[in-house]
Amino acid sequence: MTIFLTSLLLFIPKTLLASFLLHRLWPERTPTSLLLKLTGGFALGIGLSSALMLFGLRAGISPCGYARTEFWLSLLALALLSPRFYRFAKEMLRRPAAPFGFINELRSPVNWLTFLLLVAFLLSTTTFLYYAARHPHGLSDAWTIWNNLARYLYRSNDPTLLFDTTRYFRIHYDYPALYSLNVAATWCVLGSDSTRAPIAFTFLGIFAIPVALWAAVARHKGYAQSKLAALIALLTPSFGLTIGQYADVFVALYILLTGIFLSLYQHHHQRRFLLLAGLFAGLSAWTKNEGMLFLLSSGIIVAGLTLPRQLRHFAVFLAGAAAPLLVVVFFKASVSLQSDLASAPEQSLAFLLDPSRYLIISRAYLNAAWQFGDWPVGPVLALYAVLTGFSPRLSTSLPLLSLILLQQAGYFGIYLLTPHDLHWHLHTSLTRLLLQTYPLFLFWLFLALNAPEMEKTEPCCSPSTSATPT
Amino acid sequence: MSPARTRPLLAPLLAIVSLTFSIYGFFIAPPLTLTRDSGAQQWETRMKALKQALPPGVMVVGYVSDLDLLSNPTQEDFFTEQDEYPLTAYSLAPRMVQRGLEQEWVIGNFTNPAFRDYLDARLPAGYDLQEVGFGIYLIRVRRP
Repeated sequence: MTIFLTSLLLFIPKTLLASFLLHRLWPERTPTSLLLKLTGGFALGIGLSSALMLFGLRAGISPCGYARTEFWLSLLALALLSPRFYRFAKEMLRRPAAPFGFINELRSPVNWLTFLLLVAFLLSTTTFLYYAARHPHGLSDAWTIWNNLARYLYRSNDPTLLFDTTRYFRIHYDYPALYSLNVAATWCVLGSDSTRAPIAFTFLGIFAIPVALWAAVARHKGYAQSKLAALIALLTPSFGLTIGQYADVFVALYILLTGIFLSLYQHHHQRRFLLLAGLFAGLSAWTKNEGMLFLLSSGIIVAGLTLPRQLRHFAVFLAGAAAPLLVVVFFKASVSLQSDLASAPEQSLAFLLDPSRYLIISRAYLNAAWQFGDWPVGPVLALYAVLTGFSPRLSTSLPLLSLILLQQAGYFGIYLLTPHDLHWHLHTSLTRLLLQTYPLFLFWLFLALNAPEMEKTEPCCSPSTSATPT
Repeated sequence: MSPARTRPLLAPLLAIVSLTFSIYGFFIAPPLTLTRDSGAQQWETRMKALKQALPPGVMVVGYVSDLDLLSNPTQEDFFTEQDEYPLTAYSLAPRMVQRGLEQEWVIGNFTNPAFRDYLDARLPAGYDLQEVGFGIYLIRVRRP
């Protein structure tokens, strides 16, 4: 437990520094914006840290040399920034804590949601820790793709190893290295390749999702709706994949953050939100190959929102995505560009013209969507949606729904063209592809549904102040 | 659409239903992936003796298994063994584990007793065979 807690603490410096960067870019001081900057800070921190580590390795700095230097420099930077953090915290504590106002208002049934949210948090964390302890090495992808690369890097401490694929075993050498580099860096600072470190890393990834959802939904639909969204996310962490220590949970987090910043852009028309949406979409590509497709999907949606009149806004999105994309290209060029999904054009054409493949994939999608989660969350949410109804302002959330559908349509296309056995491919990957867009789906759903109470949003987000372009 | 008055009741109801279902889904009828032993922990234990037996400077080792003994392995044969080779590579990191008998040090992972004939037919005479337990062997090939 000590190593688990220490591992959690090791992510604080990079999270706080990246949160500080986000705060410079978006200086709003509302509780929800601060929470979004904190979860975004974690996501940005692990992305930046792994990208810099990659360049460090290329420059000949050993993995542990880099990781320890980064850690101590981060602590030094935090120490230098501590007077600003102190002043900031002091100022925040003087304000009325709106999200905790429920304590005085337990008369309404809606306010009992806070208590139920706490129960959900305790249930979800204890379940995660219980099953994670039973699978300390994760499941097969952890030891064939993600944690094994981290082990090679930590145990060899050789900066050249990552770039020489003849010297280590990995099922897909071209899979991006954000996850593995973060785990290796944590082991380096810990001084041991304890299985608790990747468990702690995955834990942060999973629980950043409900926090981000809570903050984002609260801005648009009030605290009751946001608690409900966070509660459902807490209770559907897809334990099979998350305890497995797979990178998909981080893709899901990046996809969610992209959607959140896109919705903030829709609401405020400020370019900084597009920069952040581009950045997080790009970081999803630095996490898993599916992120490349997501970058394309989000680019199409942003183009639809901005072009042709706001070319500069679209350019800002591209600028945000450019830096992580550069890291992905650098990594792929350094390691291997070979994809296991490449097939001959004549075979692809035959697959495209085969109606049975469409049928098989559609059936698999319906089954997987209906059975998604460790309990029947699909039917329960469908019933809830019927009972509460959709908000009259449904159209504002349509770009998010289009983004989800576009991404899943892309996956559908990949299944159509896959050179692998279709049944095997669907069986081994469809649930995780649904998991990747699931938090964004929850965000869309709870924006689109009627809230349980009158919508109370923060002053920052009221419609009168929302359309200030920058 | 339900009247706005009933919505405040539906929200806690959804929360309670979700909590009840998830307790059932997490603990009473959890998915097989969570309850089934993946074997990774056991494999790490099996590999401990092997790691101790390998000389420290050896960075590349060979790997052969029951699968290599079959002339026509089926999909099921591959499936049975699909985790054992990557788990061996994972355990022995940062050493590279390469399938085949080309290296001086080779790991044998056998349950089929015919493996001796297989090795005799393919390796130069006088190779060393050390059993480390659980059907795992460390083979040293002395080539002229």
